[in-house]
Amino acid sequence: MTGQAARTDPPVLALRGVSKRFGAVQALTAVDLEVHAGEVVALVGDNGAGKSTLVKAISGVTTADEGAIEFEGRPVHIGRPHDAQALGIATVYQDLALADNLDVVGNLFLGREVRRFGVLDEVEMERRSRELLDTLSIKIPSVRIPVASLSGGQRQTVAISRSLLGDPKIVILDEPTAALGVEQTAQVLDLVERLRDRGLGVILISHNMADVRAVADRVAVLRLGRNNGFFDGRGTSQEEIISAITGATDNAVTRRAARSAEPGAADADPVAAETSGTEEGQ
Amino acid sequence: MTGDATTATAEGPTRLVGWRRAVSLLGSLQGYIGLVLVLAFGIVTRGGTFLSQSNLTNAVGAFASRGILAVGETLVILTAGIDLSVGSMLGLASMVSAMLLVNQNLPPWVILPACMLCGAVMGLANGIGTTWLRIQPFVMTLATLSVFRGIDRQLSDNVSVGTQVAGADGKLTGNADSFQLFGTPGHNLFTGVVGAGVYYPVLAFVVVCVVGQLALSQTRFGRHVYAVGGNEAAARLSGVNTDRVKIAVFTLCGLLAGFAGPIDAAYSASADPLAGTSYELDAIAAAVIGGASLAGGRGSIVGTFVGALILTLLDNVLGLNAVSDNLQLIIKGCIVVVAVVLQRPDLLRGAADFVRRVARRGAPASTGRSS
Repeated sequence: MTGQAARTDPPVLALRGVSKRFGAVQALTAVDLEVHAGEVVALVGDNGAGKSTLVKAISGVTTADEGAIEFEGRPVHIGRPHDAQALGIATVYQDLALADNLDVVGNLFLGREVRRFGVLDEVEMERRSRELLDTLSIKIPSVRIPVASLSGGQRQTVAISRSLLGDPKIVILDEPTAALGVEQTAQVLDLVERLRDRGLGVILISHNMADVRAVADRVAVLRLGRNNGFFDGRGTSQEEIISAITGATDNAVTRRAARSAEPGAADADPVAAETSGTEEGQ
Repeated sequence: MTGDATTATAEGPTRLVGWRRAVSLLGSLQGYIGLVLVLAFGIVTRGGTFLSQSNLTNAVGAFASRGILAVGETLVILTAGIDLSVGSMLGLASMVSAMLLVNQNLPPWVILPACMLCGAVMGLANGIGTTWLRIQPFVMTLATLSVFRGIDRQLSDNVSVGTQVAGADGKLTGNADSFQLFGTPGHNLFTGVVGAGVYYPVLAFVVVCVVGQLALSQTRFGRHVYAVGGNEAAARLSGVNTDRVKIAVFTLCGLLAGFAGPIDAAYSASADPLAGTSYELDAIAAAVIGGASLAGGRGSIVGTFVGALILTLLDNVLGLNAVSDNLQLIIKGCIVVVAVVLQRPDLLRGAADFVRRVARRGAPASTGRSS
């Protein structure tokens, strides 16, 4: 629980005691989260831990039942996606970000087309597209080809850079590296670091612990809709994070890790050693 | 019609270079092959007659009302929807126009906007059904196909209404006379000064196509139409009001059907209660031949214009060659299949690969290309 108190400057986005209930299901219970400028916060948790619900509450797709959201120190109400965008919160959804049949420029400016005398100003949009992609060092063969012909990594970088057009302060990335190859994942992680260098607060949702540890400054763990620890991105072992995600040190992942690690390392954790002893042969 | 021409390398046996060039050329000209073939067929078989101004004007004019429907249909198809009710909307609009002329003796410049409004209301109903009530477009417009036709027949009591209204002196009334300008054959678009010699159906069709194409390619609305068809969820998350776009395309489709109604009535000199039956199939066929994908997001008004020309000129050429009606139906159906197959870039790429493989097998001693 080291990372939470490390920063003294006020957070750009702060969630305090956010709860959300869907019928009989308590999706979120008193969740806290803080994101500072120039910081990558990884949001991790098992399936159904409430990551998506939390992101939807921040991006305005759903509204929280209880709790407060503060943006730059002011309490705000986010009732619909437009509210979040107006505040400066941009969300990049995994598969839903791009229209395959439109070209890169068309996608970048979808929903905020630049017009002159009521007619689309393609020249201006293309110029600003190139400018944006250049400042982010993104290599795309042409801004005039349909995104269907781009690679998965290129598509993801286009989707992320697209979110920057609204000049946001917080960017939420939902599983940006899922279904990407090694090379393409590296491209996307590079871009995440450039976002941080530009002073943006980044919320990164990921199942990939290698990615999380590669770029995250802090890791916020959700479990069963509750906070289950904040960790420093670099000073924490993967096992510690996974323990927090699964809720116990006694679970299939740690047992397996203990078995495969050298005996000395397994003994260092008394609980893991004890349980791996009692459940031997599983 | 994107330039998905396959990149044929210049090396290899000369006999096959031509082949590969031909395949890549086919790739870039996909949309126009059909039109060229039909024109060539017409010129070869019935040269002078086919190319005469009056023949071409009549051919396009006869199809104009369906062509205008096809433009509206293209808008709906681009958003991954479909409108089966365009024929019924056209029928009802043509009946309304004839009744306004005969019963109310209104001038054409009042009748036309009234019919367009009538069509727009019907299209709006389609749009609301598919968005707010979340009925699939196919089902919703199948239902309204029946409803609008029923209203049409109820309104007319199943009797067709002639538009050539004679006054007390036995001549056409002034309003009926000017109403005829909407569609009576005999006026020729290509001769005489504008106003006297303009053949209205052709002019209307061309203008609708030009306006439609500009709206699709140059405006925010057009961009949103493509986005909704390409990835509706992405469009919605980008701040596009997808429901409003869908309602708009259905309403525009209805409006264009209302616009085509009086043309159809004037062309036939009467509004038949069954006018426009099965026109929706011609409209969809024109859009599909023109490169529109029913999955949405792909197609253009220019393509639909070409598709409509192919359909109408094919009709015309087959008619001039005295091909039987039954055979014409079969040929038209086959044309749709061929057009759709030709417009798949991957198919032509596959054909190019095949040619390349054959080339390699045919000349194993040539350069050792590895790709």
